[in-house]
Amino acid sequence: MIWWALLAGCSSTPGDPLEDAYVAEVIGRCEAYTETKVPLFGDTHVHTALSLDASLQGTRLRPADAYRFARGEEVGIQPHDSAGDPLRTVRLQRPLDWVVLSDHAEFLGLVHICSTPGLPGYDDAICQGYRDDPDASFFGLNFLLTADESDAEPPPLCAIEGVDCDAASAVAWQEVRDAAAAAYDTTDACTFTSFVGYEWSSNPGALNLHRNVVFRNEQVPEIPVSYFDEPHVEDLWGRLYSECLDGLAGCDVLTIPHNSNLSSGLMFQGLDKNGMPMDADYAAIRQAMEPLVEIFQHKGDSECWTGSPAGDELCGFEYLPYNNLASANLDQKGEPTALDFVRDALGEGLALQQSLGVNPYKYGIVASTDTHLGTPGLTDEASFPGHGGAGQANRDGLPVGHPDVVAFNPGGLAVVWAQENSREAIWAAMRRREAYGTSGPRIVLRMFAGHGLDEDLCEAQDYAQGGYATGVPMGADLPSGDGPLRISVAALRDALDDPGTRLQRIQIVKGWHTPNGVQFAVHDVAGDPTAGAGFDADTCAPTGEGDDSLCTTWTDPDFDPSVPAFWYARVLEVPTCRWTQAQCVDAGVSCQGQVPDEWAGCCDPDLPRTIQERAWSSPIWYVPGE
Amino acid sequence: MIGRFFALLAAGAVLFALRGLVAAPEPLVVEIEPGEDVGEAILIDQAVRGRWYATDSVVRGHLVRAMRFAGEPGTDAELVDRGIALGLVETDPLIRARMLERARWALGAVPDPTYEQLEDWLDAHADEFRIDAVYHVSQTPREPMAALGPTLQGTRAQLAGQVGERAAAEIVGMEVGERRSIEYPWGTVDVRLHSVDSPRDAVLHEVENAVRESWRADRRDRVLAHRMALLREQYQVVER
Repeated sequence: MIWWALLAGCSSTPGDPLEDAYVAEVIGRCEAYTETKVPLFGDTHVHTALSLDASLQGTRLRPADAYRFARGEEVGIQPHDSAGDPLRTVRLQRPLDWVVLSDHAEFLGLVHICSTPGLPGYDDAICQGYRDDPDASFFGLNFLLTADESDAEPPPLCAIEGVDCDAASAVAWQEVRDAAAAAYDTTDACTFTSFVGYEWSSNPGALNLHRNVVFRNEQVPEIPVSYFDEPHVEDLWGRLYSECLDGLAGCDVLTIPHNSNLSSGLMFQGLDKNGMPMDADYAAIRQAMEPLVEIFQHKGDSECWTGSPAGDELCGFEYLPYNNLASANLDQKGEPTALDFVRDALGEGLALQQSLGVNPYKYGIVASTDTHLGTPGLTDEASFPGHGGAGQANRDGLPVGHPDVVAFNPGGLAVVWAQENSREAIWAAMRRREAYGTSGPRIVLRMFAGHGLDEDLCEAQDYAQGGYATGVPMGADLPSGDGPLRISVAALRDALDDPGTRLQRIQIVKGWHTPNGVQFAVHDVAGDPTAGAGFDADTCAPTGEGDDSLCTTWTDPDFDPSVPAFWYARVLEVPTCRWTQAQCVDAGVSCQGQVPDEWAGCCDPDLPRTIQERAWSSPIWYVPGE
Repeated sequence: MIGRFFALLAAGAVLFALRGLVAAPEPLVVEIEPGEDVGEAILIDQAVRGRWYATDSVVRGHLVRAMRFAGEPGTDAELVDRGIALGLVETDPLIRARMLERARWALGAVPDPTYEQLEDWLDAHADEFRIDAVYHVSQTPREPMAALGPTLQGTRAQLAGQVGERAAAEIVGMEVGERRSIEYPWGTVDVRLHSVDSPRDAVLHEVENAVRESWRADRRDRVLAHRMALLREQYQVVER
């Protein structure tokens, strides 16, 4: 017998005293340590060839490749020639600081079986379809995810005698774990941080309830939990409690919901799995498990909707004209509902806080890409190569015209304020919600609030030190106090030298709870939206001026110490060309003359030519008496 | 130290086991049905000899469900024992499949390298694991830039991410102690370079995971083929 010997040193057994004595790393191990914290740019939503939808669209980059890309290396992406060489290459203009890989838990085993000759199931018709007819397989297999919770079942392949999808899933999961371990910079230079994660892809009736599951360190369960295993989010959290928080020394985990804009109101409907209104226990667990929400990604903006009571005129940004995942794939347009958006949920959270005593929607903010190309942080507008997991597949040939559905976008970034670039420091920042999202640019955004905040904080020698000393940062609770409530927001434009898009203004979005419901207001607090900065849509060249840096300390004129409220900042860049328009300009398309069919979208009056890139801070909350 | 001990233990175990195989006095015998895959049969035989079914959670769960379906009373442990006694391990296709998967997984896994192997690998590939210089500067903007901190630290790449490539290039060109006005993307900033942590080769404990994965990647395919061939040599295959 050689097996015990082969396995020795490869894994540890449950109850191993060495695991029970797991010692977490401590913050402070990095050479570059800043007490008042630095912004670290990352991506919490990345798929590789391990995900079914990505692999069916021709993605071949695996977890280790995705990390190489995030650290600044050039990689090749689909399509591939007959020799297997990629026909497109991509590279980040700047490396990312940290990344969470989040391949779909569903079909993780199927993808491994169907792409590994010799495994039981490899020759089954499902696997043959996976390899020979990827488009049909995409719809056929993903259709399983649209089953109601009571009917959720794994693919029939997994029920065939001799086929073990769980074991295959464990093999893929080990690859994810190994890649994260290898990519994490554990030297004192602390140049890059990796996190192990996966996506739980709940999709009943094609309504999106997905969560990205992120682990604090290398202590993770043996296998991811899929929608087929646990179709209800409460039971996902239950498994994470039993297999991680309570069941594995050193293990810690959080979940990040995304694309509420595709949930048709389900993401924040306030019901438990039995269809009953959530109770305080449910609310407390949700708040504990979900400190963050993903507000923006390839498949649109989930901040707010112009049709919602919480909407404003800038809510039309990267609006996705679909209201569920199936319609996004089939290009069948639909309107969202009011409670599809994060701003509405933040307001609903205030109301639930009053009735339950706990706010289940106390969400900090991040954004990410949801790339299915294995290319984290690739948010550049002009060179957007496509999503890679839905919409247009570029598996079989170079894209002609736009490389993807024009309603998609290049996605955003997750930013945390942390003392150093290490797992512990970033994890702590995510837990305390000292985080923000951007729609792609690396805007630096700070926010503090407090009753004792200095009116002249923006001119202070050390803004952050003053902010922490006299206020609380984004993501925190505002303690009760005397005097006016001041909120200070500071922003720097993306440091990229060329092109360098300037800032237009800072807004503060406020929500507060009244006996008549939740109210919302949007205040312009810095910058000048009327200064005329913009761009020439025919050339994408910038026109006019904006600001390199903005800062203001604003006093809320309507602050009432008896009223629960939240405030978050929205920083807007000056208008720039949307990716679709940038690629039209690059292709030399002129709507005055003959327009090639593949570029007909360039002259579609309904297709926005302009966007205003932005950053959203996590809110600061106030609850009277807390 | 503990890691090194276990690495040596694991290496010793592998060497011992392989030596035992090479010196095995009697070939192992596996019986196959006509058309049955020889490699699979060997892997299943290995898994059965190792009694994996007794400890594998998937197999145990399946045995419990199967026995309960058959109406058997008893605790989970009793049902598992009874299922094994009834020979389900040898006949149940799901258990066979699970053990086959585990066998393939184990066969494809590269065991942990020894500490000495990691050190040798790091020595041979030191450039891949080199730690960049870290620069420590203070920065005072001429005009208020509140979101810019009073200090800045990081490698050149990290500096570029925070203050742009042009400013980062200027900073890394400064002498320690030097003061200079540098154009940041947001305006002029007075910068002083306080210290530089020189670039250096990593020591193993700092980069052990990365070195291990690099070592494994180099060996994975070769190990898989080699182990299967070794196993095959130890077996006499008899067709039923």
